[in-house]
Amino acid sequence: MNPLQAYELTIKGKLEAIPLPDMEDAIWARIKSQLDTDMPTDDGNDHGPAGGIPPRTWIGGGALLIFLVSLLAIFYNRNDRTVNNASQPANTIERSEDSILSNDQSPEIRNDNDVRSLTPQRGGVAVVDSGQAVPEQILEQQLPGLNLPDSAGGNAISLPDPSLNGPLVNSPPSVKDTLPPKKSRGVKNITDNDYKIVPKKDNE
Amino acid sequence: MLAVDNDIELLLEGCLANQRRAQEGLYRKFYGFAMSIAMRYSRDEHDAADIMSHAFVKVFKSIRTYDASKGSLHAWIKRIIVNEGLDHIKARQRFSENVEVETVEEPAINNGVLEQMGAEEIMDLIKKLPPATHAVFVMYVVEGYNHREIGEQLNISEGTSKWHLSEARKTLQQQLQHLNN
Repeated sequence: MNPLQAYELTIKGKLEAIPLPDMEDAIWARIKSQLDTDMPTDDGNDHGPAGGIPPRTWIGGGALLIFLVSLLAIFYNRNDRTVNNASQPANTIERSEDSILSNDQSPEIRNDNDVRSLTPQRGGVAVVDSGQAVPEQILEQQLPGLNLPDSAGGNAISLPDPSLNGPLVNSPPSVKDTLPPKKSRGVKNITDNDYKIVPKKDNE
Repeated sequence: MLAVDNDIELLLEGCLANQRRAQEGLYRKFYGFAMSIAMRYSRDEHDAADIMSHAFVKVFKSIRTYDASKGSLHAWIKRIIVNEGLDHIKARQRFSENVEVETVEEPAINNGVLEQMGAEEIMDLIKKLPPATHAVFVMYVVEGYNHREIGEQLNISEGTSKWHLSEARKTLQQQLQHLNN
């Protein structure tokens, strides 16, 4: 502490108790304005210098929107493919490279005149060349719900033993299961006969 | 006391996170303390408001540099306010090396007159001092800085600081005698 004279102590005491002007809010407004310019915040209550939603919120919202749209597009494409696969002719099972085969194995295909038979491999699946008939019983066991036309019969085809370890092919769902039920069109209880034009007999 | 410290701790955390509500809370908590300091270095209320707004922006921008182990928050904020007040005075008058003295004069001043005066009247007397002399007088008498510290703050020698204090005392004596008469 500095050695002060009596009058200086009086001055000091009075200046420390000087009445303050009522400028608290006005000064805060100036401080806030400067801080919003120099140090903008992410607070929900705070806004940028020009008002409105801060830029960071826009960027975050945009990124989220793009992400959601991408998810929807992927989901939609997957469903579309599933529908396309299910709409193929029921008497053919095409080879699916991605899901069926393991990396180091491939099914052994032996040529035959009528039916190609396969030796089931570990993790493998029977593949039938297009146009060849497959016994209904066997196919229905493997592909329940599959609406099969009348087959011409033919030699049996060996299908993968479920007891074998390895990935099984997920049979595509039947067309009936995937497609939405068709709406009935036209007016009910009306037949083609109703549209026949029958000339009236003229009795006069 | 503990409750006040906890409040300030919470406000400090919010200020570190740049939260406006916390910054406003800290400002309002220190408004009275800071404004009374700002008033001592200003010519009028608007000058004091300038000092306050600039000082608190600096407080919030540099809040991360505050080290509680080195001193209280009051002392830290006071230093920023005083520095801002001195910057305002320097903008009006350059602190230059004038005459240096080794000892400060101590003229006799009637304390009774001063006791009858209000704080604003006394403030008006001090504001009539030249800016540099005003700053040295306030820093020495009210803030408690010694001449070495004043010299470091104002970039002047201790001798020049003593000279300014002597000049302040002589001028106040003359003004009070005039008022007494």
